[in-house]
Amino acid sequence: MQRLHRQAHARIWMVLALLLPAIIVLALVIRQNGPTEAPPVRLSAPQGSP
Amino acid sequence: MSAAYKPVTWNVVKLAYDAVLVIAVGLYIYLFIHVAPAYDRVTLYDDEGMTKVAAFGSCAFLMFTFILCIGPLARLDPRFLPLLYNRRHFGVLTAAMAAMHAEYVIEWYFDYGHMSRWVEFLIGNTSYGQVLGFPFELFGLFALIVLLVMAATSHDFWLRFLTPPVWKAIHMAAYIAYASAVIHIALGHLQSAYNPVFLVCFVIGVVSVCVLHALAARLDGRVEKSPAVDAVGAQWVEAGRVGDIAEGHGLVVVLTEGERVAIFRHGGRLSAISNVCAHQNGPLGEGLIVDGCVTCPWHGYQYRPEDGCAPAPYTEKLSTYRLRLAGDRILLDRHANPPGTYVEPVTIGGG
Repeated sequence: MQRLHRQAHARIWMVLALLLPAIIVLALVIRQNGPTEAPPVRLSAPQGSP
Repeated sequence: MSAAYKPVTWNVVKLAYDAVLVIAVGLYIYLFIHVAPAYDRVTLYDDEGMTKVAAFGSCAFLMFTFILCIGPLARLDPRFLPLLYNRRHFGVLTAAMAAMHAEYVIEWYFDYGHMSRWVEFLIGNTSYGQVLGFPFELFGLFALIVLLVMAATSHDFWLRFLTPPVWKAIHMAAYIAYASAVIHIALGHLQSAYNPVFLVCFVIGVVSVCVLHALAARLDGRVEKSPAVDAVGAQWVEAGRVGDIAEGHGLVVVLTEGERVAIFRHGGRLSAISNVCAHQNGPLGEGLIVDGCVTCPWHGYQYRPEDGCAPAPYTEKLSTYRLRLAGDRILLDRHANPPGTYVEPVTIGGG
């Protein structure tokens, strides 16, 4: 009997070993960061609210 | 199957393994929800529900990552084999953690509309045309479905019912599910997380899984391609030299048809059986002779090298092959005997 799943396993991981790090890098590249210098602005509560 | 090792029925080792597993997971969840927020000055969740989403989600992903590391680790170092023998319960608990994560997500984000919360979940984000803001939840849903299917079919009943090749093919969907989980986190949590701890764990985990599987695949190539099989006539092929096989060990030979044969040296004799374990198609040739039987490195299933039969009371049978010696060259009959056929072992130095 042949062990075809072992060959499939090697091929799948050859692809994933390239794909997964690329996905992480892409996710970090497109990540949006807010301004670091601007201080946070506290919103005041509407008039008449408890 | 092994007469000495009981991988399916409950035993002390399995109980201890499961106890450690449940305690470790419980401790992780408790620390994440009740202790870690006191030290977190970067990512403060607004609500306990959000904290639970993060706790169960991160736990499920880290467990999934560890599970995928167990296979290649066991191939690279036999000391990790006990983890492999008991991997199923680890997988079932991972599916449970992922389901808890999904339940808290649905409860927190999608339980306030007029429609069913699952409908809200599926139609809540339709930004399919952009990468940033893509409905990453669907990747998580796919991974969860695969984990639940694997957990539901993890019992040996399904292994026998579906046959090992089909069962193995279904369970290899775990790799696609892992990729889906990585995308789910990369497009979801990673876009809004400011605490570097999970990011570091996430990157290290993913890279570890990739590197370990690549190393294990490389080892496969070395084990199965060496030595080359040269044709010696139509029926017999040269499989290697006697000195290539250490006592109690095996040698994997790949025939030109793609069939794999494991030749074992046991008690100064040589025998050949199929390299494919009847349980989950594990690589028998990478196992050892234990108690006079070929023992599969994956789950400890055993077979007599002379006839390929599992010792009583087990009934699994493998194909056997005839061997001949020409000096120190091992000649292998490329035609397999029917499973369970007795073949007299070849005595080394026996003339």
